[in-house]
Amino acid sequence: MKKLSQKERAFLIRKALAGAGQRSRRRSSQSIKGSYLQEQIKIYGDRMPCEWDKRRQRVPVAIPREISLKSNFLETVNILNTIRDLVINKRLPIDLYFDHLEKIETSAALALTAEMFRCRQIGKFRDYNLLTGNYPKNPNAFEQLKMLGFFELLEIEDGSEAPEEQSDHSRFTLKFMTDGQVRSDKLGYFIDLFVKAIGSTIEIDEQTNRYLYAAIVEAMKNAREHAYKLRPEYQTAGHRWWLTADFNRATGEFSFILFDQGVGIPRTLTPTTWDSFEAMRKDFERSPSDSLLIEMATRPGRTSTDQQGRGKGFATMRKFVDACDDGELLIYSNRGHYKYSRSDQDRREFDASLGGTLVEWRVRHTSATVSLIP
Amino acid sequence: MKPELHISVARMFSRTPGPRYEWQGPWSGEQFRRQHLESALKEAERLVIDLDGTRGYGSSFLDEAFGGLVREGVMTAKDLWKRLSFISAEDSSYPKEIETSIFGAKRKH
Repeated sequence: MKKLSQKERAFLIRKALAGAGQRSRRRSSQSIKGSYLQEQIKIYGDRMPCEWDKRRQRVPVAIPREISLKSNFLETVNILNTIRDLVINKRLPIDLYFDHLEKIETSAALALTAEMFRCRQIGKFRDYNLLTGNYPKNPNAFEQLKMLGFFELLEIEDGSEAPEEQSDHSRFTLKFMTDGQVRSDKLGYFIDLFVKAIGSTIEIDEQTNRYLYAAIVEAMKNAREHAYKLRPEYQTAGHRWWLTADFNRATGEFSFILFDQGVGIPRTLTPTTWDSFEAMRKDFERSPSDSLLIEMATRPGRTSTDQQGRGKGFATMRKFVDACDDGELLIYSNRGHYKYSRSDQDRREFDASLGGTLVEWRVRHTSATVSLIP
Repeated sequence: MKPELHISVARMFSRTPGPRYEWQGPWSGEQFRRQHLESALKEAERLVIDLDGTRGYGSSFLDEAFGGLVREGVMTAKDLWKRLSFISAEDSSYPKEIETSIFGAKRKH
């Protein structure tokens, strides 16, 4: 056996001690995490408005009655932030309880789906199922989330707990599509699928279809180019966007919705002196609010890149809305909301941030054909 | 040099034109400029660009494909505009948009 020098012996002793230290630290960190998990289970369990499985070592989170950016923004955003905080920051396993959910708006459902996607895609959580949930008891909410592809993400596909009651089938939602690049080829296919699905009720003429395509390509490009150029607060699953489309047979309303989990339009736009002046004039504020910055971003020529030929994207996104007789462009980004239609523009500021940007093109149509206004 | 060359975006490039730059995704304006326009301008005196038959164009695609020729110093805006003509029966606004991009572009270097 080779005799070790004093230096080699010292090295091996240090290594052995370091290993023992690491093992003991890991054990103590696991026990701290275990007690922290118990603490969080108790905190969230006490707030639960419905029955929950206490045997499962998971933090129970109740989904509110209504998930909607339009009519229940704060509660919706709070639930997204809770999921992010528990899963991404604290790395705790959670169970989502949909028992009380009665109404879910497609745009909010897409943001929730994207959150599930992120929690499941981030590399460090991939091998461990940190996020699961049950089925909503409300058949309409269940049907809508099912069509969106939500339960596939949660890996609860067997349908054994699905509500037996049938939904009213008045809504149709296309399964979400996601990518980290601008996929114009996939988008063409996606629009075709949608047009085919609603074809018996509403016909979208070719020119309107072209404007819709161009609008979504520009929004995808914005998500790819601007949304992730600064570091978002939470880790992201690549530079992704999520897209879905929704049709309400009863009202003749359809919408296309694109969401990204980037830093938001207000953070990518550097306010100028003129912006501050406008903030003072319009909102009596020293610096422009998120909603004002979104409005400014939609103006022709306004760009965060300082490069030639830029600042036309939002004009293309508005062109589709302008072409329809009753269309709206809705943008939610961080704490701000901006609504554009040919006849009206509106802004709103909220107390919580969405944590990304959601663009929605909504068209209401009572006649059989959606076509361009001469 | 040929007197004229026809380029159909839908048939020779893609029915689904995409973003501005190649790094943003496939079928970009930059890709179309590099693959078709730059070489065609060396081959022919005049280019006839057929814009019909696609799913539509984002403004970024058109700006990078045509305005990009001026920015990259392939030729001046005036010379380029003289050598281009368009078929755009489906949407007459595209040539105007391209003209704005070309004359709004300045050579980078």
